[in-house]
Amino acid sequence: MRSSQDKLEKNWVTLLIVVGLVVVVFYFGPLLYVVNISLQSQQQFLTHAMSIPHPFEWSNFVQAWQQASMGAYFLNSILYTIIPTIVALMLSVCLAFPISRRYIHASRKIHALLTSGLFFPVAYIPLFIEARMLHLYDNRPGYMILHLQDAMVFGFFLFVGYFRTIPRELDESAVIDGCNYIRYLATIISPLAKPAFATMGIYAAIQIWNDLIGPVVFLATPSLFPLSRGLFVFYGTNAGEWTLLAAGVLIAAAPLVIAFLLLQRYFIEGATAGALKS
Amino acid sequence: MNNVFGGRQRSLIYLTMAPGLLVFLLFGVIPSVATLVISFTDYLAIPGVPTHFVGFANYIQLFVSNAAGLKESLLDTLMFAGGVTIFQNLIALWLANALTKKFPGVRLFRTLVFMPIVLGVTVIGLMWSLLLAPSGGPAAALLGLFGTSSAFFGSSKLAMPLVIFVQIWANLGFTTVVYIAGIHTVPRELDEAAKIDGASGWKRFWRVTFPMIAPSVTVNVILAAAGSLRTYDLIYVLTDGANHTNTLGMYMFNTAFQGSGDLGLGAAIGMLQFIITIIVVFALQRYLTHREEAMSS
Repeated sequence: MRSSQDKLEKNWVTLLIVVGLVVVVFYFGPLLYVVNISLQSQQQFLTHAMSIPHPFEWSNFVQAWQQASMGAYFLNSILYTIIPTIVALMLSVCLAFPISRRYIHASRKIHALLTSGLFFPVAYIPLFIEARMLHLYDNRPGYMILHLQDAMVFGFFLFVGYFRTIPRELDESAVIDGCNYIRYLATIISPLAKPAFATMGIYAAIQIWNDLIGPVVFLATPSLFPLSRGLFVFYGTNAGEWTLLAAGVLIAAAPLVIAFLLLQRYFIEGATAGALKS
Repeated sequence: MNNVFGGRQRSLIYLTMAPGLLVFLLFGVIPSVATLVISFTDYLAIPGVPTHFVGFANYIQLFVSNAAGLKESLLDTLMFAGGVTIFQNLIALWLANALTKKFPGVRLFRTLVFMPIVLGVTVIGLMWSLLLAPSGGPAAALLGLFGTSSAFFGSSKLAMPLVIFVQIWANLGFTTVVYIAGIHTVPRELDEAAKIDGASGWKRFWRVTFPMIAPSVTVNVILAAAGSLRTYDLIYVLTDGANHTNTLGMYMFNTAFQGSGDLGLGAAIGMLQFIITIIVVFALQRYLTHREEAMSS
């Protein structure tokens, strides 16, 4: 082991203080403040917002959950996130495998076209018109279908790269053994691409879960809203009730923050790869 | 290339590809072409109203009748995209340089800076609206100590800098990850040699590390510029385009989807935004690639 890599920097105290101060003031402090507010009574917030909650007002979370109908929005968000992610995964595997192997005509051209899809701008205006024509506007299945394209193109890009590392001989032996193509994809090829599934799944889940413009454009009925828009509406109708809003913000942020802390490496990979798009 | 799957198996390949290709055609190819077509119509978001081709009427309205609004929007876009691109990269360079050093707490600091990657615009927007609330928020309390106050997002002077700040806050983690990866590719020996020659920390960074991470600079500058020219969801939550934060994206969105919903005019603004983004990205790409070559020679 090289000692230079394990030794602390000579000026580590300065680094700790300067970087620590910046991170704490801008990244940890705001989070702590929101947690603090979320546990205060409205009365305390108006007089002593900066001090520790006294007493702890846990009821803010219950109240935010009920008043903002967060239970229903949560269910919508889970549905909208899981189903399109799984379907897009399947679609992109079905597209990526034969094209990475050049098993069909014009594989190269289709590959170039689908990859260019990564750089298409999100065209909400035509999508809105299309959604109305195809009866995808303001309903759950439609909303989910409209989220397939983005995740699918990204997955395609990832899977093509991944499948190239799997030797062709595997295909040949599968054919000799009389293995059905779909079964081969599902039980042999897909399990070999697990890391790509993880990266794409996390990327798609972050995008869809957090999408706000999508539900503003494609949904009109409040009961169909996902959490992102539900929370925004709650903000619009309860402006000034910051203790409740803080509790709502924390409830909405919790699932992704917890997942992030547990699977940090995959999240950074998924989000970084996803920045290609945003 | 020869396909090992023949006969019925082969048709299964086409069958399984069909749904994906249909999705791509319907929601990828068609919309990206259709914006141009819609920009020549008077399409309204109100159902049942007939639509006509109106030629360049939307563009004339944009550039002539509404020239003042367009000029303001272009200026806001320039401020937002320029501010975000420049400061996000400068701060991330500083942070990445610090976070690749060894000192206690460095992993915790990384985690905290990266965390907004998973937070959506609603959560980020509400959090900062709360922190920067004109009364009762911690920023207001801080200003109160100095005997002043501010409307923050409601102020026509401060709204834009604050929107830029929140946008950078949200995306700093990503830019930093890219720079950290770049710094890790720089051979340690170079830095050590400069250290022995007696170069100070900052001098070493600018003279040794910075030229070596030119490819990361290219990626980060282009992604930040392209992203900030297109994005508007955070602005939508924070100001909805008020107080000189009406970037082209925001202007397009509000024209197309608020009020009576003028989709034709919105599409024209979208086309203008698209063309500007393409030109800026190509120019930056050219400039930064030349710079990379100059640095490596």
